[in-house]
Amino acid sequence: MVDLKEKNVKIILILFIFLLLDLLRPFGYFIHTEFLFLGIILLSLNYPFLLSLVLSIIFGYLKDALSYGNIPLNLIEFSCIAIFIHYFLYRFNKKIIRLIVFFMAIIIHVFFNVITTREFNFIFSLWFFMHSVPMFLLINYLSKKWVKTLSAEYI
Amino acid sequence: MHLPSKLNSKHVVLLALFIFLLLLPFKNLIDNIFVSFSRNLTITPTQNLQKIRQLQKKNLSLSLQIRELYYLKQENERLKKALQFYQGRKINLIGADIISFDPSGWRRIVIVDVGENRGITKDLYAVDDEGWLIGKIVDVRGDFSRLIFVDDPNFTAPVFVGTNSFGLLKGGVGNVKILYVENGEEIEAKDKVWLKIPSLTFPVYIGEVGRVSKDTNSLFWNVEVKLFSKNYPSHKIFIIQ
Repeated sequence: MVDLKEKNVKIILILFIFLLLDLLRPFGYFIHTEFLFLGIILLSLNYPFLLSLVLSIIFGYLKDALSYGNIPLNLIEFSCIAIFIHYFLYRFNKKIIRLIVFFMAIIIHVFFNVITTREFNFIFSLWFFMHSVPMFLLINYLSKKWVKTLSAEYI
Repeated sequence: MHLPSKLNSKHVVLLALFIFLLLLPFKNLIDNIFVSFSRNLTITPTQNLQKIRQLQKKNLSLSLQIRELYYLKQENERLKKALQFYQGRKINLIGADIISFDPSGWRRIVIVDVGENRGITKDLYAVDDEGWLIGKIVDVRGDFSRLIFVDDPNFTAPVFVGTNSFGLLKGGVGNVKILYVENGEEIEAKDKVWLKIPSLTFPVYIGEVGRVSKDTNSLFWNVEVKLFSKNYPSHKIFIIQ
């Protein structure tokens, strides 16, 4: 029970830190990625469905509250990503599927943003993909050390 | 045997969901709480830093006055009028610090630490510490505002290109361009792109022309712009009143 609570608290803390990183941007616009979005993928891949969905909704709402605009797009997008990832893990629980689902989540995120900004820049989307993948692998590796899940089901 | 961990975990999750639903209508409250929190996170200027900021503002004001004089001199020579004596006009600049950025990677919007309390209104333009245009104010609150950068996809402004052309500057991440340009054949690469602000008598420069092209069946020319400002890491901006 203690392990489970500690694990939940750690992921909430990780998500808060990622939200702060996105807001304060210590690297400016040189790194083309969204840490909170990567955190949501990490959460969905490694935590139970109910917790993933609730935290996705909460952090999606927080991101919308601190963004400019009235439509709660991130709330919708993050909860859809959580549902989408859990559905595929439920149907095909293999390591290669987890990798494919991760790539598809990034593509869906790019697609969402292209629709909301009504502008598609291929180079920028490519940079986003190329920065997000190694950043996620780094986050995954570091969180594996810190959170220490019982089942080693990280990518 | 009773399994408390499974039971309590569900209760915790449901409790979290209940608390979240309670907080759902309070978007503005969360916004205000975050801004006052992050104001303390960023480094507040000491006395020396305040002095430096004042000197930067004065330096920028003087640079803009010099640029104004140069522009007026060119105008006089072009119109072949007698040299007029020019009395420098006071340029109202409000220095501001960037508190936070929009969390989306596709948007270029920041929150600055000045608002209605300092006389900021919507649609005021902002420049960096070298006098290049970097954006405009889109949302004003009591003590903070939102500034949209030139390369945000939703940024637009009427601009002039060189001496004879004009169009609508439209921002874009990595791709700023000017739309509705009719006489693109008169535009060359490296022509200056500038903006006329009503409170100033001289142009505010945004960038220079990168590439000019025209699609076969299009009425207008495509003009790509290279921005002068590379201000993002420095966090200092000046709003023109």
